[in-house]
Amino acid sequence: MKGNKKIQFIYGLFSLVFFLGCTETPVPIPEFELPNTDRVVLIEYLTGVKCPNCPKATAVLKNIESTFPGKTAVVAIHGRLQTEPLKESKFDFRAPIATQLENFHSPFLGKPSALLNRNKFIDEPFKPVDLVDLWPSYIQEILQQEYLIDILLSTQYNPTTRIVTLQASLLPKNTISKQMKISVFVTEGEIIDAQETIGSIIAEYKHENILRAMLTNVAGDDIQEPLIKASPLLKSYSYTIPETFKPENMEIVIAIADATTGNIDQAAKVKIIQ
Amino acid sequence: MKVKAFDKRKCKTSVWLLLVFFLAQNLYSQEKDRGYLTGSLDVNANVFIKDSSINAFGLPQYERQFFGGESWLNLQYNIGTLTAGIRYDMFINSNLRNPNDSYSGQGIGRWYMKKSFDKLDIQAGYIYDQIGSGIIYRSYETRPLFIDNSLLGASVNYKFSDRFNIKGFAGKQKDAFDIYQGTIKGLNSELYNSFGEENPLTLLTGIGFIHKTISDDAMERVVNSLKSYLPVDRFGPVYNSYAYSLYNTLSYKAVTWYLEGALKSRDIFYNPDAPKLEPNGASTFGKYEFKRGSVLYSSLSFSLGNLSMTLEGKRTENFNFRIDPNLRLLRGYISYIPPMNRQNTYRLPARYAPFTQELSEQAFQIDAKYRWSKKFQTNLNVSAINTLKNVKLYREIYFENTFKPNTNWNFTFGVQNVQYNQNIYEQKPDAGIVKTIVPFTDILYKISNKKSIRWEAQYMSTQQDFGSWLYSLIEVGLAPSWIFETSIMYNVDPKRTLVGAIKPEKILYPTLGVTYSKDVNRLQIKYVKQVEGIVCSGGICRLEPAFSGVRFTLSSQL
Repeated sequence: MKGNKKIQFIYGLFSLVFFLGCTETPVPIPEFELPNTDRVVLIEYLTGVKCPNCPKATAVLKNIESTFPGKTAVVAIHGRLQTEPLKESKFDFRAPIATQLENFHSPFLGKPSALLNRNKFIDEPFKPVDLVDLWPSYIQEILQQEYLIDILLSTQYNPTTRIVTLQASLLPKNTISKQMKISVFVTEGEIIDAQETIGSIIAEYKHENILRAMLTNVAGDDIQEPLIKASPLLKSYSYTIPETFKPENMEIVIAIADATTGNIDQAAKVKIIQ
Repeated sequence: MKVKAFDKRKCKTSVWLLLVFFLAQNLYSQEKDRGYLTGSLDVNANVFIKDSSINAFGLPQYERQFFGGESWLNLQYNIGTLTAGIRYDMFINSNLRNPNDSYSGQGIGRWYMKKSFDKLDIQAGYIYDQIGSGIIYRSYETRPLFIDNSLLGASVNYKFSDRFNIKGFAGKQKDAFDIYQGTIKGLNSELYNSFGEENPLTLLTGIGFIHKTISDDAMERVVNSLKSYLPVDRFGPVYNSYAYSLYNTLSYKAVTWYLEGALKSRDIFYNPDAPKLEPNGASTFGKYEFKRGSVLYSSLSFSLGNLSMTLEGKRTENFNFRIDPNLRLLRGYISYIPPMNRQNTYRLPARYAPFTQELSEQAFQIDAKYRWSKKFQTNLNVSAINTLKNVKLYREIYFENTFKPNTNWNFTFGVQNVQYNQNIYEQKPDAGIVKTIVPFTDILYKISNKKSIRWEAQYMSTQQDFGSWLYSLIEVGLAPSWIFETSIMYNVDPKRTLVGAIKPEKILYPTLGVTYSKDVNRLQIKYVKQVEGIVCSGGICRLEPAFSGVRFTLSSQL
């Protein structure tokens, strides 16, 4: 019976252990406060018309844009995966530059995914984050960090030639000695077309921020000029808008990256017709 | 936060010093026991040949890398009661981690030391283990799915007697060549009861407990996400959660009954089907939840004369138990919930396999075998899986007969009927329920002691997904070393239009291969064209894209 007492003791110990976790105080959820910063986060959204979970991700992106007003710039990349037009589609959103950019951002687990300032977050397997509920959390994290450069943008559009000229003024907050890169994206929104969702096809879905062109290399162009504190560096880019695109629904997004880490330091966006 | 490289180096140095110390001590104290070294080498190498007609394109391997592979070198040294092992893993342009992308990495995938001191067994390093059937805890490796969630930590097992032991362990879970920062602690005790030599009743009762603490980073991410939730969807999260399991195996003559009940305390997990209200008024699906979970699983096996049967049942609710609630797909699982369907091996019957739904599932399975004579046997398997809201997920009726008239011939034939909710399992919106009927046969003829020929034929009739298929395989064996095989899979009644095509096309997927075995070495080379499909291992599945290319595998025991 000595053995049985030992067993009873052990199982009693187990029972005690089972009830240890009853007293933990829940972590309080603080009210949301918009970070006091002029930083703008570049969101490169890997999506496609055949991505059934993307409408949910797009709703979360809209929520992010209203939660962090003016602090995000979205580029929707319809690259190689899940992007073939549906039989209900009127348009094909794929573009070679989108495929190249998606390849540049590989690997990723699946769509929807988003690169948030191209940061690699701890415990994420890849730079693109595929759990959309984490996007606000990561954006909040990025907005609390310091950045190096302010950006001012303006555009001039000539409706006759359909040429848009972008003037970008880069204003370093401190003198920067490391190599930086600049990327310029042209996007178009408010396009109504079919989109796959879980269980059905949405025939009239509003597609936003579709990447149409890049005015730099896929990986960005090196900034050759010195970046000196409080000395604005002016950069100019031109783009001829194809007849099939609507300039009133188009934006230009610019992003400055650290050439070594690839992380985006600052982003900005401007409408082509202001 | 991940362990910093410097800390990891320090940690590894300490571990090697400890390992050397243990080995030296054992060598000194057991000079007469010289010990022995064992091991294995497994190599997979793929040459990717782009074929846009079957959707085998667009991945880095097809577009620019062309070659990918992986290897595992496993060495184990035993001396006396000490066992030490190490495994070197290498992945180059591998499609194992993510079938839709390329992954490279190499390093020590596992090391461990085990030592027994009388009634005490201790183990340190990367540990594989499980409690009961694994419902509250299972650390294991499944290479085809890139699952290796071993516990980097220590384990102690004390045997009070031959019938009673208690085991404790603690550590952090492996993540490829990193570790997750959450911690896992566990206790497990088993008691064996026999009621004397005259009474054939035995009981093996076990009790298990798991304590999980998520990391500060994981909590911060959850809290930041919850901040953007409306009050209706918010909750107050906690760091710690607990899982308990009570299980028992009763054996009486030819009857074996296993019963396990598991409970999980309130725990944070992501539910992709939970409705969520967005601040802009839109209603979407998918949010973090904070709920209790439970699993009840039972299995009853018995034999009556020529009949043997296994009945299984399972109910699962909110049992997504991971080291970090922000992880998804096959990453970070602490629990393993047993599957409730037949693990098919033939190509077409295995095409639609369900994976365990850890948030909502109720299922049962019956497997019956009847031996009509020494030459003839029948196997019937029926399984049914629903969600807790009674949404149909999976149905299977599998009927197989084996007839062996003499030593030269072996006939297997049967039919399978499946209903598979592709909408839920693969999240394909216009898919619905895939319904299939698959008659199949497998005939083996031994021409002589060294020569044999085997023929497999299967036909899948379905109006859904890719449509109907025909599969045939011929395998010629020249014992003891050579096996030659060729097979075709043909989409006889195609329903799906592949990328670049304007209508569904009849496509042939051929395979040609040869296997060479010599002593403890096995080499295989195959030219393969393979359609997109589900790859499963023990109820854990994932959708893999089409493959086109050459596969080489080497398996060697050292």
